[in-house]
Amino acid sequence: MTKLTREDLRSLARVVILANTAPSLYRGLLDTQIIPLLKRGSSVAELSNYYDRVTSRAKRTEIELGIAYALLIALLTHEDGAPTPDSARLKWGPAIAELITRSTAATQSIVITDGPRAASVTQEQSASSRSSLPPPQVGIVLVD
Amino acid sequence: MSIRLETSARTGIDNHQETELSAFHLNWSRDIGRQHPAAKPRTAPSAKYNCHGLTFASRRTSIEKSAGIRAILSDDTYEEVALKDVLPGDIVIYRSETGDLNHSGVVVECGNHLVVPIVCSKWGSAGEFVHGLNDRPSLYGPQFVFYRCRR
Amino acid sequence: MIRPLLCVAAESVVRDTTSGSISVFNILESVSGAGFPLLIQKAAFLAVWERSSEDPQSYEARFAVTLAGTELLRQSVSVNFRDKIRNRTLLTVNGLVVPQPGKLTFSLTVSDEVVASYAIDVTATVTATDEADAIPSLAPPVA
Repeated sequence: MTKLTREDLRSLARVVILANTAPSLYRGLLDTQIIPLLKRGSSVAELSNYYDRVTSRAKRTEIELGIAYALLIALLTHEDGAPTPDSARLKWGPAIAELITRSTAATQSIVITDGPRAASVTQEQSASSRSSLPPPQVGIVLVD
Repeated sequence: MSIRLETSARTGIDNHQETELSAFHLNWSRDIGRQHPAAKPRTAPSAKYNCHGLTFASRRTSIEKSAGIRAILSDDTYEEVALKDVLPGDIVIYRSETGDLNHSGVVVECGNHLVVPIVCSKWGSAGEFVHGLNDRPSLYGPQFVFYRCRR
Repeated sequence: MIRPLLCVAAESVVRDTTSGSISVFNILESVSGAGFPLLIQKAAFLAVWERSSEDPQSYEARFAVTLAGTELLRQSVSVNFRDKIRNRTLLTVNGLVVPQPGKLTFSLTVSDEVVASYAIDVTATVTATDEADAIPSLAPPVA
């Protein structure tokens, strides 16, 4: 489970206090760099359990609110397809969820590689002969 | 809790009043002052109103949605003002790159003796600060626009 | 219907795994080679799409690299928005052989209707040997 430092917790509380609107809270939390830290240091299940625990308390301090919102954003933007958390547990949760849908993009990355003929293609080129060369083939497809 | 808030064209504006401020919160508010030493704190922290509540609702409540601010700007005939033409009493709205209206304040001082106008604004549930136009938390967004009510 | 916001070809297009930001390095504006066929060792194509919330999530698309209308490479791609409003599709081609000079076009066609394409000129450079042959000799012909 990710360990947040005292300074990390102060940053979260500061953002919660300063934010006037849901978008400013979202931006402020992104700027702290804590969200990638949470995603790297904890599994999706751990993040999800922690979110449930923090948001089940009726009274929350500013630090706990900051952690809760950071966990919400980490889960909503997780590349491993985390189960959708209940954003309505937080006052600005639904607004942030909508903002994430609006502002982020799905990304696909595909690599098309030539096959074993790559070396021979280079040699044929240096001889500057015009030969009929086969088109590149699909080698690897990566989709995230 | 909310109050009845409308534009001059009777468009209802969503708003919200918080009341509680923890001792923890009061402690952190002092820390915020240290982050911006040139900004002068003007009032104690208050959860009752936010920046837009100061600018558009006389500190009575918090207005959190960009749609509400846009309705006020439109119905109450606010027009954009260029930086070089800004006067005290004009308002400034800070925006994110995606157009969210994240912060607002009132111009309190400007003129040739100043590089940028001086603004009074409420920083979240911390207090009000009197600060240079760009001397504010970065989470409010990089862009700003000035408006004046043409009534 | 979805629409392309941006498309460009470059030496490489990378995605920051922490922030998700896309960076494009060395945009291809033209390519020249001393001899043909020419091997472009690495080329990348980026297309950014936007849809409205009523549009479907997934589209069948065709990525093609053509030279003066002749297809050099074709690959089927599924453009999937995954609940988002925008999609970024990065295609990296490792080893593109260009047989002759001409207009090289990278295109991504969605549902046979909407096309994002980017074209560059591929030219032959004149070598020193070529120049020597091209300049007529100034010496008088030997009788």
